[in-house]
Amino acid sequence: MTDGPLIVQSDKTLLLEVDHPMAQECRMAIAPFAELERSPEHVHTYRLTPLGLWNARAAGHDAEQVVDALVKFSRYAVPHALLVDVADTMDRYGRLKLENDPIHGLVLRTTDRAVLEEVVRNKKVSPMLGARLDPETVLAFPSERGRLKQALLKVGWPAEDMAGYVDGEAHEIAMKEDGWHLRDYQKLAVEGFWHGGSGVVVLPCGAGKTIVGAAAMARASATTLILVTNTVSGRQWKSELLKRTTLTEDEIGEYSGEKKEIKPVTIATYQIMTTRRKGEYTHLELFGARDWGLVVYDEVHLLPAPVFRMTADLQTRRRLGLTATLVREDGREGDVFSLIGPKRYDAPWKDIESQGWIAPADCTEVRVTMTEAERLVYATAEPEDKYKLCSTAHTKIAVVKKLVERHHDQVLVIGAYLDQLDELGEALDMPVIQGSTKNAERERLYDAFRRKEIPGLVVSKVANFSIDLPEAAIAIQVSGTFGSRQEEAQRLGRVLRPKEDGRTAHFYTVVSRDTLDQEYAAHRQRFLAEQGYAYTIVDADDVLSGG
Amino acid sequence: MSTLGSTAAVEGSPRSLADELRGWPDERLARLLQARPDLATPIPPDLGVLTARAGVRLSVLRALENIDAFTLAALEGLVVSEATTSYGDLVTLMGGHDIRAALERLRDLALVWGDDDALHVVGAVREVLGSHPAGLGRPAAVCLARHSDRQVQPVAEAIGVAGMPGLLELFADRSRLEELLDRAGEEERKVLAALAVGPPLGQVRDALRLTPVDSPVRWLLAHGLLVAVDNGTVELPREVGLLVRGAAPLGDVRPDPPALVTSTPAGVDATAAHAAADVVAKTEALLEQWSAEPPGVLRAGGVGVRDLKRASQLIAASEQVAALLMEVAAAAGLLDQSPDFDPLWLPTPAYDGWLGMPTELRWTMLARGWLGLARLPRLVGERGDRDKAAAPLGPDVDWPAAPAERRRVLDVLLETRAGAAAAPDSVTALLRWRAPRRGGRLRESLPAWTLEEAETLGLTGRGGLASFARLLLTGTDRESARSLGALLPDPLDHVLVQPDLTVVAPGPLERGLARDLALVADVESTGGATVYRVSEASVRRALDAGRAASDVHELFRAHSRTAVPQALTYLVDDVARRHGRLRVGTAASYLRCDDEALLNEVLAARKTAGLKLRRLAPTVVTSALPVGEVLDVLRSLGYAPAAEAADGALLVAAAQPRRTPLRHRPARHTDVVLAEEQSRLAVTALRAGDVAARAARRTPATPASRTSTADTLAFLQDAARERRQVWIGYVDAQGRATSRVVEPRSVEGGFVAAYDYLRGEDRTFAVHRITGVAPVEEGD
Repeated sequence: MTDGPLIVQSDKTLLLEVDHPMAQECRMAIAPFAELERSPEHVHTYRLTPLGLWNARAAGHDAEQVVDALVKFSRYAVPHALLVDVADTMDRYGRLKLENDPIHGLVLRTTDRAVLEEVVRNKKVSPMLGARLDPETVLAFPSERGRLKQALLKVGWPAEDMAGYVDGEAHEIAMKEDGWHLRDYQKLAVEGFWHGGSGVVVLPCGAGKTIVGAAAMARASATTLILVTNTVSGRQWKSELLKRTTLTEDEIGEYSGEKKEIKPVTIATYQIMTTRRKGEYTHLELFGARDWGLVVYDEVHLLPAPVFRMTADLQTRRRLGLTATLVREDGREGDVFSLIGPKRYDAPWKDIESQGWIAPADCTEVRVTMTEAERLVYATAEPEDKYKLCSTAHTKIAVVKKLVERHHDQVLVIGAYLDQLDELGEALDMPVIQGSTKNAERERLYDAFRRKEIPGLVVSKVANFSIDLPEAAIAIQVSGTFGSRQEEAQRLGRVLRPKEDGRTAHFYTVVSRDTLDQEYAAHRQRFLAEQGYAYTIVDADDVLSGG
Repeated sequence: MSTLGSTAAVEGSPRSLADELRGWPDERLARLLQARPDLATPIPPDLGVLTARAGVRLSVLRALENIDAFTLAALEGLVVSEATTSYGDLVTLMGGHDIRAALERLRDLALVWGDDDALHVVGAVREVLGSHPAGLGRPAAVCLARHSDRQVQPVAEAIGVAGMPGLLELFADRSRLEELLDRAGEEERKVLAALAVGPPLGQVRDALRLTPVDSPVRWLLAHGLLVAVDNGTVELPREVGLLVRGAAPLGDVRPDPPALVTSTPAGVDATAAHAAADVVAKTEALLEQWSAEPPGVLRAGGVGVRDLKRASQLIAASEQVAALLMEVAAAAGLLDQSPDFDPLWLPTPAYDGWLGMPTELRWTMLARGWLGLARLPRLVGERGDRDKAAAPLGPDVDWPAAPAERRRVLDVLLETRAGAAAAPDSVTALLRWRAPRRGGRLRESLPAWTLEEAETLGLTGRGGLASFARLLLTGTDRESARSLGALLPDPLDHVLVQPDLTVVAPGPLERGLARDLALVADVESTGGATVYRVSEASVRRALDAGRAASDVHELFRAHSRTAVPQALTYLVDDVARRHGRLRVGTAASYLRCDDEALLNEVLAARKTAGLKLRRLAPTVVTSALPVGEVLDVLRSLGYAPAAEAADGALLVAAAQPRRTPLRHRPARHTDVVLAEEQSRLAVTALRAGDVAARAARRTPATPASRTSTADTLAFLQDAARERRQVWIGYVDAQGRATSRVVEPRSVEGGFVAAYDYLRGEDRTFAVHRITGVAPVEEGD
C-alpha cells in the first residue's frame, strides 16, 4: 500500500485528492486517458471509459503507461481485473486501420485476422465494406468512411483512421499577433489538434476558442467552412477573424438566412444547414460547394443530427470541433468521437481561471419567497404550467432590481419567458433582446453595451451562446430551459471574459423557494459545481435589506 | 514397504489377491484401508470379503481417481498385456522408465498383485479402463472373434497365411507382423499412425467390403492391418498399434509431474487484502438489501434471474460474482430461506453477529464458507437437463466433491513460494497429471474456476496465494485474520464533504459512521473509497428514520475534514422544513362542531373516555371507534349528534326503503319482417334439413354401430372422390351425439371437410369424433 493521492473505484472512477502533495503529478499522469468528470473543491473524479482509453491510444499512449500510472499513484491495491480490462480495452484500438492503399484506395486493414473476420460478418458493418483483397485487407467504400467508423466504434473495434486528409484548396491565412499573443494552452490545443488530424478541443467559455479556431485555420492555410450556432455568433467570428488574422472582409463569406455568400472562408449557421424545403436539406450542398481544407464546428455539443449525417461524408476533410462542455444531453458523445474526432485538448475551468485567462466568478443563488397569492396559484396550477409560474414570479423583479443597483456594473439579465423579460426591461429601464429582435438591432445594442453606453441588457436565450460581451461582469438569470446543465455553463461563460482590472464576475440565479424552480436550479448547477464552482445561497430578504 | 516383512503365512508366489493380502503386514493393510476407505465401511469380516470388495467396479473407480498419470499408465500397461506381465516387460512398455514406485503404489492399493515375474491386475480394472486402454485397440483375436472363416479367407490369402489360425499366428509373431507392416505404402502408414495415437477406431463407409482396393484404408483392411468392427467402423488391432507406436508403446509417459509456471507479481498481499475487504463490503451490501427487500425462493429452489440481476447491479459486479457471494454467504451461515409457506431469502441471526466483527474476521468466515461449499457457483446460469438456467442457491449447483477439488487446487498453490503466482494453465496441467481420472466432466474447468473464485474472494492476489490465505489453509482463522488485519487500512473517522453534495470517504469507514452515512446519503461508487451523494430523497430517508435535522448537521460537522458546504446545510434545512408538515394518521370516525365549547364539554365528559377521542383542531375531534358506536354513546349522554356522509351531507337516520335494481329481461316481441333474401336462405336451410332428416330416417337403426377408423376413412375418401352424400354419426365438442348428412369434400390430417346439410354450410369434422358412417340411399 502506497500513500498515493489516487483511489481507484470498482466502477472505474478515479478519485484524486487535490490537497495531496503528489496530486499535480498524478493529474498530469492520468489526464491523457481518464475523463475528468467532476472537479469540486477537494476530490476530483475521473472516469476510465473506452472512449477515453481510445483517445489516449490515438494520442500515442499505451496500456502499460496507463497501468503504471494507476499502480504508481493509487493509494490502495488496484483490482487486477480492472487493470486487465484497461489493457484489453486499449488493445482493441488500432487492430483495425483505415488506410489509403496506392492501388485500391481506401481499405480497412487489420493486424488481427480474427477481428477482421468478426467485423466483416457483422450485419451493420458488412454493407460498408467491399471485396476482400487479402486475409488482412478489405476494401472500404470511401463514401462510407465516416459511417464505417461509427459502426466500428459501436461494435467495440474502433478503427484508427490513417487514410489521411485532402489538403483542400490552399488559401493563405496567417495570424496577426500585434499586441497580443496566442496563449500557451491555445498553442497546445492547436498543436494537439493538428497532430491528430481531426478532433475536438474543449475549453471553458471565454477561454478564447475562436482564437484556437483562427490559429488552426492559419495552420491549415486552406479554405475553411465554419459552422456556428447563430448569425450573431457568426458575425463575431467574422470580426474576430478580421482582427486576429490576415483575412480581409472580401475573403470571409456569411451563409445564413439573410445572406448566401460562399467565399474562401465561409461562416454558416447550424440553422440554415438544417433548414428543410420539401423534406430536403437544401443547404447541405454547401459542404461540397468548395474544396474545403478545414471544417470548424463551433459549440460541437449542439451539433444537430442532420449535420452529423453530412459530416459522415466529410471524412477526408480536417475537422475541428470546439466546445466548452462535451456533455451532450442526447448522449451522442460516441458520434462526436468517430465523426469529428477524438478529444485532442481539454483544460479544466479552474486551471484556466488560476492562470488568469478567465475571470474568477462568484456564483450565488438568491432565494425569493413567493407571495401567498402566487403560492396559491402555483399550488393549483397544471403541471405543465408550474415551472413557468414559479420562475416568472413577480417577486423576483424587485430582487433583480436590487442586485443591479448593488453592483453598478455592466449587467446581463437572462431569462426564458418573454413576458418576464419585458417586465424586467421596463422595471430596470434596459433594452430587451429576444428571438424576434432584428439582427441589426441586436448588433447595435451589443455594441452600445460594449461601449458602456447602456448599463445592461435583458436577453432571452438567444444570448446563451457565443455572444462576446467582454464588459459583462454581472449575469442574473431569472428563468431558463428547465434543468439544462449546459445552459447554466454557457450563461456563466458570458461573464467569464477576464476583466481589465481583474475584478470578479458575479453570476446570480434568482429562484423561487420550495418550487420546481429551486429543484431545476439544483440540477442546473451540477455541472458547474462539478467544475469547482461553489454556489452560495442567500435569502432574498437579505438582498432587499441591502445586505 | 519392504518385502522383508515376511510374516507371510504363505510360501512361494501368491495364487490370488486374497492370498497376497494374507501375506501383508498389518500396517500395510491399514494403509490400504486408509487409501481406500470405502473398503473399510462396514469393517469387512475377513480378508476374503475385503478382497471381494477391492474387486468391485465402483471401488476400483474410486481408487483410480487417486492415482497419478504415470501410475495410471503403468496400470494401463498391465492391462494392455492381456494375461500376466513380468516386471521387465512392463518396463519396456513404459519406455524404460523406472516404475518401481508406481508399481508399489498399485500393489498398495490392491489393484495389482503377484510377483514381479507374474503381475496380475484385478479384474475390475480391465472393466473400468475399458476395451481401449492407453488408446490402443483390442487384440486381433478379439477383433476377429466375430468374423467368420469365410470373411477372413480373402485376407488370409492376401497375406499368405492359412485361414483364421494362420492369421492369429501372424499377429502373435512380432517379426512377421513387422514384415507385413513393411509392405504398407506411405499413405497407408499415415492412416495407421493416426489410429495408433488413439482412439483406435475410424469411421469409413462399407468397412466390410475388401475389394476393390481403392483407398489406403481398403488396402489395410484387405491385409488384416485394420479390422472392420461393423460396416461403418474399423479398428486398429492392439498388436499393430503397439508396433506402430514403436519405442513409446504407451504414448507420452511422464514419470515426473509437469512443472508449475510461476511468476512473482508485485503486491500479491495488498491486492488480495483489497479484494477481501471488497468481498466483505459487497456481501454486507447485498445482505443489507435483502434484509430490507428479501427475494423470494423459487419454487424449484434458489434465487430468480431478476433478483440475481438486481444483486449484480447493487454490488456493481458481474452476475457470476453476485452468485458466488450469495453462495458463500449461505455457506457461511449468514443467509438462509425462511421457514414460511412462501419462503424468502433472509439473513440469519448469525449475520448480526458477523456484522459486529472486524473486517478480517468477517472475511475468514466467508472464506471458510467457500472452502466447505459443496456446490459450484460457476454452474449458475448454465442450462441443465430441462434447459433451465441453474439458479444461485438452487439445487442444480450442488457438487458434493467441490470442497475436495477446491482443496486440491489450493494445495498446489500452497506448494509455491510465498508471493509467487502460478499460471492457471500450468495448475490445470499439474492437477491433470496428479489425478487424470478425477473431477468428472468438469475436470478441465474446475481448476480455472477455483482460481478465479479465489482471486475474487481475495485468497489470492494477482494469482499468488496471499500470506493470510496460506494461514487460513494451514493454520487457524485467528492467525489468518490477524495477518489480514495488518494488511487492511485502518478505518477512518472522517469524510470529505464537497460543494457538489458528494461525500467522499477516502478509505474504509468506522462502522457506525458508515451506517449513518449510508442512511443520509446514497452510495454512488465503491472501491478503495466510497462516494456518497446527498440528495433530497436521501435526507428525507434519514428524517423518516427518526433523525432530526440537527443530527444530520452534527454528523457532517463532526466527521467532515473539510468545511461543510453551505449548499448541504441548506439542503438539509430545506428538507427538514418540509418534512412532516403533512401528517397522516388513522381514525375510525370524527366529530366536528362549530361550537368549541360543546366539544370541550364532550371531551370533558367522563363517559366519553371509552371513545378514545383526540382533538385535532379547535373544532375537530377524532375517535378510534366507528361512527355507529360514537353516535350511540353520544345519544346515550343526551347529545343530539347527526351522522355525516363522505361528501359532508347529513345522513338521515331513517334509511330509505330498500329496492332492487331491475334485472335484464328478454326483449319484447316485435313483428318480424322477413326480407326476400332472408326468406330464400331460410328455405334453403329448410330443404337441407329435410334431406338430413329423411336420410336419418332411412339409415339403418344402428348407424352408430362403430365402423373401424380405417373403414370410416376409406368410406369417406370414396364419398369425397365420388361427391356422394353420406350419413355420419358425430359427437360434437360438447359431447352431444348427432347424426347428419354430409357431402365430404376432402379427408386430410384427421379431419373431414364436408358440406353439412343439417347446418347448410361447409364444416370440418374430426375423424375421431365420427362414430359411424353409412351411405345415403339414392332418391333421398
